[in-house]
This record gives sequence, structure tokens and C-alpha cells, in this order.
Amino acid sequence: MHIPDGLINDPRVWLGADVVAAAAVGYAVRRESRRLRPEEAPLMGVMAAFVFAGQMFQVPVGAGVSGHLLGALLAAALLGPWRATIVMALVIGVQCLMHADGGWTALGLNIVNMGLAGTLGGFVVHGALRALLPGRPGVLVGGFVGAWVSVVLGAALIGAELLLTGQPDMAGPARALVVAHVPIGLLEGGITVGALGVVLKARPDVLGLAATAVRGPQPGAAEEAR
Amino acid sequence: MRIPWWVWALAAIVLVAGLLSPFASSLPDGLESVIERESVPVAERAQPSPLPDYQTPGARDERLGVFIAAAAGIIVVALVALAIGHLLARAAARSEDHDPPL
Repeated sequence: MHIPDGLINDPRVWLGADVVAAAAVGYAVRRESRRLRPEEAPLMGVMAAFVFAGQMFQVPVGAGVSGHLLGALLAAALLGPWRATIVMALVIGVQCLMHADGGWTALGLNIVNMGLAGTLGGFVVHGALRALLPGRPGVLVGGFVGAWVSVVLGAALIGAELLLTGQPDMAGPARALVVAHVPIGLLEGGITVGALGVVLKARPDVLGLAATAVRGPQPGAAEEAR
Repeated sequence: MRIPWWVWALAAIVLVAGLLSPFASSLPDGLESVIERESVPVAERAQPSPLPDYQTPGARDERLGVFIAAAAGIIVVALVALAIGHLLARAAARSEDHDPPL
């Protein structure tokens, strides 16, 4: 799903995406520099590692197409949308600079499509479903639907960016992008629910649900108890 | 000294990524397949990078090369994210010294 250099050639489009991505990351850093607690830093590192590894593992989804986890909605569910935005931008930046996955001029586009589409777009859906369905069902249903939305929204954004360049005949590819990502979104939903299920068992407090009585509600306290 | 939990988590992620990477599909992803099928023009440019396309130039074995590229990426993103987290937490602690908590 990484846009290479040379696909979106209109600088108005890719510079515009750079501005959007920089504004989101800038706001996230400003916001979190007022509330992050030291014991919350390790989960950011582990999520970054998990997302990087998950994005490398391509799985066939049929019709000769493969997909991989984006992880943006999972990160947002576990870290909150703004910390997840920082993590996604970092992962996509390292993929671009170290591994040539995603073009330099497409860095902002890729952060918008694969990061913000999930950490902000998918997360709104996830949050709404968690509000409607309290407790574990909300986490799991919200995780699946939010993850599916993040992938399909990301694909729709690529389509919109192609259309914005003003090149002729981009409506077909834009539509095809959304269609191709419907099954990839199901894969994202499945992996996201699986991971959230593990966290619900091991550390429900990370998801804002009551922890088991022995460990107490404080994430830090639970950490010390082990 | 007790090894923190995140070190174990990172080691597990690197290990699982290493074990699974030979089974990853090489089929085109959603975007690549649409670019191919719909013949969307891409003006390809060379993009210098140390580990292009998750390969390690000069690695004797291709699978080892993929593992090195994966492990390097995983460890770099984890350590940078951890460092960012610590800097943000330090800034938050400093701002709490000045402003009363909400």
C-alpha cells in the first residue's frame, strides 16, 4: 500500500499531504508532551516494532493479490490516537529512509493513507462502537470494524490523491483500489481482533477495562507486581 | 538487574518476524496490483537506501539478508519510539512542575 515515488507527481498533492502529516504529528507531539507518563513509553516502542514487523508480512488475500497488516487502528486502540499517530509516522518514515518502501516525495501521502486513516479515521468508528457496546464486545467489534474502515479509507484516499493530480482516466484505478482493499481490510480486522483479544486477556487495563482484582487498576502498579 | 518486559517483547517480535519472513507472500499488494492492471503510469526514480526492499546488499544468503533488514528495522523503530516516549514523558513531568494538574 506504500506509494512509490513517481505515482503522485503533482507537487500540490504530495506537498499538501506533507503539510497535513506534519500538522498531525506536530499536534500529537505537543499534546503528548503534556501527558505521557514514563511507564507508558515502552508500549510505544513495542507497538512500533509490532507494526513494522506486521507490515513486512504479506499474506495472499485471493485474486493474485496480497495484503499486510497496517496496524494503525490497533496502535490507536492501545495507545490512543495521538501516540499512535507518532508511532505510525515513525514506522513509515523508517520504511522510506532505510528500506526504500514508499517514496521520499510520497512520505506525507503514506503517513496520511496508512497512518492517519487508521489512527484518526478508523479510530472515530472504533470509539463510536466502543461507546455503543461497553466492555469487551465493544473492543472487539470496534476493533474489527475500525480496522476494516482504516484500510478501505486509506485505499480511498490513494484514489482521491490520484484524482487530485488531474491526470486523465484515474476514476477506474481509484474505484479498483477501494475494491481491492475490501478483502485486505477483512485481514486487518481479523489480525486486529486477535491482537486485541490477547491484550484483553493479559492487560485489560491498557484498554481502559477493569483489570483482575489482584493486579489493581494502575498500569504501573500491575507492572511492578510481576 | 531485572530485564524489562519490553525487551522480551522486542526479542519475541524479532524472532517471530525472522521465523515467518520466508513464508511471506511475494504477490503484489493492493496498490501494486491496481497499478499493474490499470496501467497507471509511474515515473520510477532510483531511491538510495541502506536496505532496499527489505534486502541486505552483500548478504551471502537471501533469507539471512531479509532477516537482517527486518531485525534492523524493528530495532530502530522500537528504540526511536522508546526514546520519543521518554522525551515526551520528561517534558510532561517538567510541565507538571509548573502548572497544576487538571
